[in-house]
Amino acid sequence: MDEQITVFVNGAPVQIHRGMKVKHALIAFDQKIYAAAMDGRIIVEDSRGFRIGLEGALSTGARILTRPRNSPHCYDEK
Amino acid sequence: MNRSSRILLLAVWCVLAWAIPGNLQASQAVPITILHMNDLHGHILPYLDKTIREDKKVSGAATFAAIIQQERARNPAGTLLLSAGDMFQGTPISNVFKGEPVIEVMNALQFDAMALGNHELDWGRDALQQLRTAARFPFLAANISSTGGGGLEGARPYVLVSRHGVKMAVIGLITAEAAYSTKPAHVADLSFLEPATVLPELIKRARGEGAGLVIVLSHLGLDADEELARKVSGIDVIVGGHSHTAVTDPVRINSTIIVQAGYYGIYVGVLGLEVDPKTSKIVRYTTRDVLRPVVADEHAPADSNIAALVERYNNEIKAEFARVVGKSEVDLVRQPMAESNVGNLIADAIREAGAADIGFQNGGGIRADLPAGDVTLEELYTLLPFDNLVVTMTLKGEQVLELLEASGDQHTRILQLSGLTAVYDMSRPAGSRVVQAIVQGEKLRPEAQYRVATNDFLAAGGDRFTTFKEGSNLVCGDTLRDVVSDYLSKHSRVKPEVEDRMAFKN
Repeated sequence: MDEQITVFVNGAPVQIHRGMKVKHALIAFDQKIYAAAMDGRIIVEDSRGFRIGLEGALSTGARILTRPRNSPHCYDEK
Repeated sequence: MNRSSRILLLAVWCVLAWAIPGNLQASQAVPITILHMNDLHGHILPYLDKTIREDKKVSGAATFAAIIQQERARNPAGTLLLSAGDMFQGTPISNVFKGEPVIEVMNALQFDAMALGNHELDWGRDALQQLRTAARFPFLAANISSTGGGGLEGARPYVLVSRHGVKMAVIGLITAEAAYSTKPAHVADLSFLEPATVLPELIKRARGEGAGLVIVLSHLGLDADEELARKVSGIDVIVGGHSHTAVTDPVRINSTIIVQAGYYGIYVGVLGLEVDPKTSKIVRYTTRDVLRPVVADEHAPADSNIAALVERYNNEIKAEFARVVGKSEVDLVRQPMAESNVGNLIADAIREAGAADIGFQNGGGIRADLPAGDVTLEELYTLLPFDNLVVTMTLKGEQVLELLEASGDQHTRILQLSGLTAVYDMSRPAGSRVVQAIVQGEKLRPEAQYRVATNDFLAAGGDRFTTFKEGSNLVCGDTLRDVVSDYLSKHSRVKPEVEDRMAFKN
């Protein structure tokens, strides 16, 4: 099993150590995006459009997407 | 919208929100409700999560308990309450008591089963066994094998439960990533088997024992759950965790329904099934809006018994936060663009915890200065508020040099060093300013391999120290706070100094 895995953030390949999480992929992609996600200015979703937490696990080839938050209540967004 | 229109709309929604796979009339079926949570990570107190709501706290055991009780009351004889793992580690109120408050909440709520998550192994096997002993529900892990034979002590592969005459097998699976993401000593004698290889035999065995429905309680992540549903037939429902995915509408892969309820207790998952009691086939299930948000505002229902339980531990944690973990003879002071004594202390703690040649800490991760004297646990949380882990990896000397060059080049994002000193000549071009690097008293050799300990933020390439991403043989350790706490306990009184670990000339 490879020690590093490749995931995709907004379509761009990002290499992270196996076992790392969504937050690590964002840090590796663009630390500003990570900071925006921490502040709730952007939403992080998987390829199905489901929201995912920053501590969520990632597997090889996982695709995560970020988008600006439209509502002050994430619960109201799908 | 008038009343009749609203009724019509509700009727249409009710039809749309329930999928009908078979032709059976609903009146012949019995209702089974699967309530589920995952990845609570100790969040039994409400908290403000800007990623969810800016104005109100979310989660909290008193609120999610009330929601669970409400949902159970709708179908008292037909409800299952399940957890897909990672319930304990993650907040001070749970960490300090090694998950005991969470187990008490889960016992009070009468959970039926929990899959083990990788973080259930964070505190070692003794702590896990204490939790298991305290739990009044089974811990499930079908794909762990120990070198001594059998599985993980005390964990069962599956459990059989019956509701409304429908016998169900609940099978627990844990991610094989646990082998990587857990402190090695905690999993040294364990193998994490590929779920698809162990599951068919278990399903066959459970069916042989009369199970009509098969529910996989998975701590694998949604991608892996989908793959499992494609590879293994005979799974009716997968209740998932690990990827922290808010599966608002269930995913359907072949005949398998997959759900997951986000993370940190911000949702309670509510999956309704209509099951033919004669064949145990699912004839209908809710296809939309299967997550109940947990908003802890003044209008939210709250379970007073659970609230009292949490409050008791919350009061105890306040006393625990005042506990002195060590003493410093000097003020611990950050330096934004240079070596600092507190940076040296933390880098030393990291290096010692990782049994490494070199330790690195990012200056930006140190968030407070502390006065000389007692260092309390609360001050440690102020000093290091981020939930970083210590990780250890192998880097070549030339890669260590790259990191030193990057550190010297950035100033605002400087690395704090341990086991390593560097002299920079700032008159030289960027990328060639390190004129001397010493590791453990010897000149750094570019071709040599060094064990390097740092935190997971840097290991991901944070602060543009991307060379850390190239490390090999990565090993995860304890949280940075625990590491520094242990270091202070062991070495106090400490007297860290600025000692020219980084020297700049010209």
